[in-house]
Amino acid sequence: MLDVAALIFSYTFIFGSLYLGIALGFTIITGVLRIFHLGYGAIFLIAAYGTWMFWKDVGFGFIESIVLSFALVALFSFLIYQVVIKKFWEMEDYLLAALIAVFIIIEELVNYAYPEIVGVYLPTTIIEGSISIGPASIPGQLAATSVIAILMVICYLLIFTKTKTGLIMRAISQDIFASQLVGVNFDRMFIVAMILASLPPAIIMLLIAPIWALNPFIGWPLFTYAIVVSVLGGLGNLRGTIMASYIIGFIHAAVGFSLDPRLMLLASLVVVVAVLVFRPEGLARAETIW
Amino acid sequence: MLEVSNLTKRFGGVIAVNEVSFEVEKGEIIGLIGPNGAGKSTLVNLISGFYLPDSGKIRFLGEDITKKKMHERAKMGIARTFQNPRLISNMTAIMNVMYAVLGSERGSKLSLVEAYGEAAYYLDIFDMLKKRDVLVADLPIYELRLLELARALALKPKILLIDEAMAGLNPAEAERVSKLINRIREEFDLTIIWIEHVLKIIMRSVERILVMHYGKLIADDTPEKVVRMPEVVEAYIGEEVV
Amino acid sequence: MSILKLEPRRGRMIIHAFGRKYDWIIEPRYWRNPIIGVITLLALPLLMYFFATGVFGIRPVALLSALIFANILAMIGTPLVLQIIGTGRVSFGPHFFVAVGGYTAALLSKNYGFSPALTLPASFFMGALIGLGLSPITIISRGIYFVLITLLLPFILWELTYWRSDVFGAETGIPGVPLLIFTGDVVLDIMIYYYVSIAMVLILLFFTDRVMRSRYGFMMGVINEDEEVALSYGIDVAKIKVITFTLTSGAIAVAGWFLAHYQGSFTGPVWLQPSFLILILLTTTLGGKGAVYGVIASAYFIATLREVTRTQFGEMSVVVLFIILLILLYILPEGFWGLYRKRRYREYVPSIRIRRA
Repeated sequence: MLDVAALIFSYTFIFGSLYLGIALGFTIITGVLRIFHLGYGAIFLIAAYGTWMFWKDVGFGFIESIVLSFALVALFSFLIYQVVIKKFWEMEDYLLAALIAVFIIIEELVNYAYPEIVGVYLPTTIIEGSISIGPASIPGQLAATSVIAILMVICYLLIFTKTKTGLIMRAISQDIFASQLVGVNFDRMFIVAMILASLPPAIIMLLIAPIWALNPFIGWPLFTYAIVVSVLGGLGNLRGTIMASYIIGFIHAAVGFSLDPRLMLLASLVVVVAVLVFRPEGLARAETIW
Repeated sequence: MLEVSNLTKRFGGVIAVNEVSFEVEKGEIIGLIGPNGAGKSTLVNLISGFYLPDSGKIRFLGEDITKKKMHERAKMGIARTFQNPRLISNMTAIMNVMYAVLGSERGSKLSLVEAYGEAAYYLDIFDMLKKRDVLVADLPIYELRLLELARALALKPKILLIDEAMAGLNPAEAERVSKLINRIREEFDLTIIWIEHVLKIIMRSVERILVMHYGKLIADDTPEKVVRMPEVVEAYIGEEVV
Repeated sequence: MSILKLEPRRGRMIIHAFGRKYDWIIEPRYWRNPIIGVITLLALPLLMYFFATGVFGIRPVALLSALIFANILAMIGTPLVLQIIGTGRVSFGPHFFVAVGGYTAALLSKNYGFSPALTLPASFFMGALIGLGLSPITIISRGIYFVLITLLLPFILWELTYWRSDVFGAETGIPGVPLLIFTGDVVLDIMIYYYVSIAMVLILLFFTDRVMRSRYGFMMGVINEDEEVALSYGIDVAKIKVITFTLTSGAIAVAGWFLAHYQGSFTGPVWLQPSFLILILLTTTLGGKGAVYGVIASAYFIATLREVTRTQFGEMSVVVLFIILLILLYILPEGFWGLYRKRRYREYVPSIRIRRA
């Protein structure tokens, strides 16, 4: 009994931080651009497989490959903004359909170039073995990822509260039209937000790559976590996302360790749909990013 | 006919309509005036069912309609126009009248073609028949106002709530609209509550005036008497009365 | 109404109302083109089979099954258009109802020995029932929230099929569903399947078209444009939305019934995939906003394109298919129907959009 409680407790933290890291970029995009980036899942794929491509196929060093793949992710976000989001800004149904289509195109491209049998493996392990907290033992890499996710969130909060760019973004997230009046350069801000938002999923992806079997279709489940968390938290609000991450983390840990691991995602999806129906503004009632 | 008692509506901390009570007799034409933000539009929205009141009662034709839904009230004969013409812009003028015909009480038995014929009749009253196939997006503001009135009339209302029929019109057009409103009132035996900013015209057209200020009803009398009330003059300080 | 008199004339209708005379021009293309379209659709498989032997290296049988897939897309797309207009919301979960219908048909026939004739109404009612249960969301949730709920529904079913894989069979699916048609001759079978599916599409099209041109269709259009206006002019928005959502959900579930009995098995995870959702969404958007006939055209286009890319590009086929479809989304913002349709004022062109609020 105590074991289960300890497991649930520690995994609430692990899962929660992990989901927070996964959903961070998504929340920023939803908060600043006020659109729903259904192509977000492609970022995970580009980060992982981009690194692999630069490392194995092009022949760069591992660290250089990681840097290059981040550049690729940023380029992808930039292009998505310029080509898809800007074009379909006013037609949300087209926008969402086009974004999913882009996601599927990337997914299939990756599947064509590096199908599962290639055995893509990225040696990004920071902590080998596992760490024991009381009766529970946690893979060290997961713990490291959680800590880095939290550090990332703190970094982004500092950006949003301390820097000028961050303040402008918060202003945009509060009132798009008012900030238009005071002469904010939207395009630039949106591009910056898109690129800023593309880094956390890329980092998280690289960190969990050694422990979660990489396959070309890993984008969807990760993207589902991002949707679930940011919807529960209130679309595009970081405070809500932080709360929601740990709530979903708790649901997953509790259901996974005391009921049936196969029910984890189902349970959280049901919770989120119920929240969407009865309280669409989510946990945070605020309409702003922070 | 319409009986509003102690109606209150709050938005957060702001009391938009505060304990408003009045009665409307059949066939009356009533002006509802007041400075910006006095709660006039909120009152219309409460009567038409757009908002539900926090407290108070609305009775219409002897029936309590406080809890009734908007479309049920429309079917009972409460029609309204919108402050900013709210027509469906990718439909033609006549289509915008047709749905009001279909939504009226007898409309549930009409086919589309019959509704078309009737809608044409209402458009004709406002001299808009020749514009029937023009998309609403292409109509000027004057014709939008007329179309709003035609649409409201197509509901065959017993009471018509007009939320600013003249905003954005030039004096000549405003004059014509005011004449039309008086004409339809006689022809269709309507009761009208008319919110307006252009006081000159409304003072001439109506028999009774309600004045609202900060959500409260501060005067309810004939136009001649209302303009002499100190509360009203005070509410309108800086604005020209008559 | 007694004051009204209708006098039909060649190409137009003269309406006498309240002592005045109005004429209403009825355009012949309203009734002539459907007939041409139906004849084309009916003749297509025969032409394909006898004349098109190996265009782009596609065998006639493969092409026919592509056309059956087109019919399936049309079967989903047609009610979906009606649903989008009648509820004023864009659903991102039509494939959820396809899976509901498919599982109902498969489970009932496998476990209880229902015949296809019995599973058809069962699928419809199951879809309609779940649609009815979910219909409050069409009233409560607006814009993006509705999109999200409907987007998550298929994922819930997906998880459910893995959780209870003993019942739903997860990715192996439910085999042993009785086939709708089995003559022993592959070509004849597929030909009959084509005609069955096209008959279903035509029936759906007929109903949808009738509804769209009826007073209800008109009121649905008003709801799609502005719910508050609809309410203030006496239209019972909630009732129309619930009825629309319920019935169209049932109709979409029928496509799942066809899939189950056509393939002889039903595998939910195949159809619950986002790529299938995108094919459905692109069928409706490329069809032209709110255009029911356009859906048929784009369903045939997309299904044929899918088959062509499959034979031409092999493993890259999905990538090429989606890139072509994306490009089309850019160059045809009004869809295929927009190419054909001139700007005609008498016709209401629904504006389909997701409200942000």
